[in-house]
Amino acid sequence: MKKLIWNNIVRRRGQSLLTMAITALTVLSFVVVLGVFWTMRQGIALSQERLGADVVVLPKDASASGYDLLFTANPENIYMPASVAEEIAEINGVKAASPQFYSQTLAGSCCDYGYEMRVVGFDPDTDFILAPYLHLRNYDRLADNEIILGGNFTDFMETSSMILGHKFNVVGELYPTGSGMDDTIFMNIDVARSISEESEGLSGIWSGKSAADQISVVMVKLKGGVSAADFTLAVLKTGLPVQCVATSDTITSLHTQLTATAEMFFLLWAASLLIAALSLFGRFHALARERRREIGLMRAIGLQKSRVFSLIVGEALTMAFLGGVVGGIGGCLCTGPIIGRLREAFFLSSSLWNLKTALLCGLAGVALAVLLGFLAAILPAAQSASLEPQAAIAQGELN
Amino acid sequence: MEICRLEHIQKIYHMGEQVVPLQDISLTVNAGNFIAVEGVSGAGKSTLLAVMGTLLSIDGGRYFFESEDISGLSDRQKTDLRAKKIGFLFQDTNLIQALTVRENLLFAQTLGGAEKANGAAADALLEQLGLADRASFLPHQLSGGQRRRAMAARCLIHAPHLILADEPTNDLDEVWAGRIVTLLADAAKRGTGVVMVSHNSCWTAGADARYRLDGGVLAKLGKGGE
Repeated sequence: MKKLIWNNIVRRRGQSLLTMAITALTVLSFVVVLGVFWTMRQGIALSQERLGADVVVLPKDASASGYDLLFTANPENIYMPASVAEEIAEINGVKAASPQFYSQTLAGSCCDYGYEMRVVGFDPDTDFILAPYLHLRNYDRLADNEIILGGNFTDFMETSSMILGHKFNVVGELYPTGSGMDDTIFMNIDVARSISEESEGLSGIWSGKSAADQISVVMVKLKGGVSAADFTLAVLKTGLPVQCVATSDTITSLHTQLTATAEMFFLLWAASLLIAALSLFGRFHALARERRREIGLMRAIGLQKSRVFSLIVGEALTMAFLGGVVGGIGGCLCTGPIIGRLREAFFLSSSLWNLKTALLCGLAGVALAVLLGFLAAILPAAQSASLEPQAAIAQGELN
Repeated sequence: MEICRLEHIQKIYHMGEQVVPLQDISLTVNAGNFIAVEGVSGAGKSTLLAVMGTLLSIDGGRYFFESEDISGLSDRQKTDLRAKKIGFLFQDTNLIQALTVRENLLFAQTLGGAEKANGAAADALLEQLGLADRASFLPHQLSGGQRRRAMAARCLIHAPHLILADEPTNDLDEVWAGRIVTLLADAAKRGTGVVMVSHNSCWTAGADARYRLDGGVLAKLGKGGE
C-alpha cells in the first residue's frame, strides 16, 4: 500500500507537484505570520517583564516620546541635576528610584564602534534595572573599566572595546528585552559622565559645564497599589522641571497598535488559508474523481473499502507533509528578513527569532499542512471508498 | 465441481424508466467449463458478468458460489471473494496507471492472498503474453493490444476459480486474439470456470457451451462450433 501511495505521487508528478505547491505556499504564509507575530508579542511581553521601571522621569525639555525612550536607542543629550533623583526617591509610593546618564559613541571614530550608539551610565548604589542580571552573573558591581552590552550586540562580542577613546573590558551581554536596552552599552554612571565630558567629539554638549552632577533620566519603581498616574500627579506637585513617562502606557499603546495590525494580517491570512484549504479540497476531490474508474477497478479486483480510504488519505497526507516541510523551511527562511524589516519600523528585538522559535513555527506549519491535507481528503476518500465497483467504473468512464 | 450457480437472477436498473437487462437467468458454471455468451450490444452481457463477479447486487433470484449462497455476504466478504477466487478481464482496458505492468500483476497477486508477491510467476505470464520487454512500462506507454494482454495476465496471476472475460479480444489482432482465447481455454482445462462474453461468434467456437442473451433471458445455442 505504501508503495502504491508513493508511486501514485511520483508517477502523477504534475498533479502531485501542483498539490504540494498549494500546500507549501499555505504553510509558508502561515509560518511567516506565526513567526512574525509570535516574535513581536514575545518582544513586547519581554519588554514589559524586563524593563523593570514603572515610570521614567526625564527633563521637561526632552523631546523623546515614551516610545522612543523605551524602544529606540537614540541618544538624547538633555540633562537635569542629579538632585532630582533624590527628590523623586522621597515621593510617597516610590519603591526605588535610580538615575541614569545617557551619552553615546561617535560615528566614524577610529577608536569606537564606528557608529553612534547609546551609552548608559547607571548608578550601582540605587540601580534595580541591571541588578538582577548582575546578580545572576555573581557580579556585585562593575569595575570602572568594565561594561555590559545590550542583547543585540552579539556581532560585536569581544573581550574589550574602545568607547570614546577609553578601553573597556566586556564582562557580559544582557538578555534581549525587545527594547532600546538591547542596543545600549552599560557602564558605571561616574565613568559615563567623565568619558563624555572628556570626549572632544562631545565637547559641544558640555562647553565648559560639568557632567559630574548631571543625569538624563530617573528610573522609578512604584510600590504595589500605586498607579503611574498618581505618581505623575505627585511629581507635578513638587514643581520639578521634569516629565514622566509610564512604561506600561507606552507598552500598552504599542501592544494596541500591534494587535490591530495583527488582527488585520490574521484576517487576510485566514482568508488566504480558507482559499488554500478550499483549493486543496478541490484538488483531492478532483484527484479522486479523475481516478474513479481506477478505484472501481481496484475494488473489483479485491481492494477493501478501508484500504481505498487509506490510499486516498495516505496520498493526501504524504503530499501535505512534503508540501508542509518545503513551506515550513521556506517560511522559516523568509521570516528572519521580514522580522528584520519590521524591527526597523517597530524597533523590536530580532534576537527572539532564533533556531528554537523557527523550528517550532516550522513544525506548527507542517502540522497545519497535515491537518489541512487530512480534512481536505477525508470526504473525497470516504466518497471514493463507498462507491460500488461497477458504479465507479461506469462513472469513471463518464468522467 | 460446481463453481457458481445462478437461479432465476433478476437485475433491474432504475434510470428514470425501469430497464431489466437480466429478467430470469439461470446458469451453472462447473470447474473446467468454458462458457461463451453472445448477444447484441446492450443485451446485458456485461451486467451478467458484473452480477457473477459480485460487482452488482441482484434484485431477484439466488446466486451460489462454490455451493454457498452469497447473496447475503457483506461487502468485505464479497471483496475478499473477488480478490481470491474471481479473475476479471474487463471490456475496457483497465490497469492501475501508477503501477508498471509487472507491478499491476504483483498487486493483484497480493490482493489475491499471496503473502509475498511471486515475481517469477508474473514474469512467466508476461513472457507467455509477449510482454516480457514491457514489464517495466506504465500502462499509458503501451498500445491498446498490449494493455489488453497485460489485463489478461493480471486476470490469471492469482489462479482464480472463475474467470469473467468481457470481450477479451477487443483491440487485439487475430493472432493475439486467438492466443488469449486459447489461454482462457487452457485455464478451463486446468479446472477454472471461464465465462466469456463476445459479440463475435468466431471466438466462441472453442467453448464448451454457447448461450445467447436476449430480452434478459439466456438461451442455450449448443456447444462451440455448433
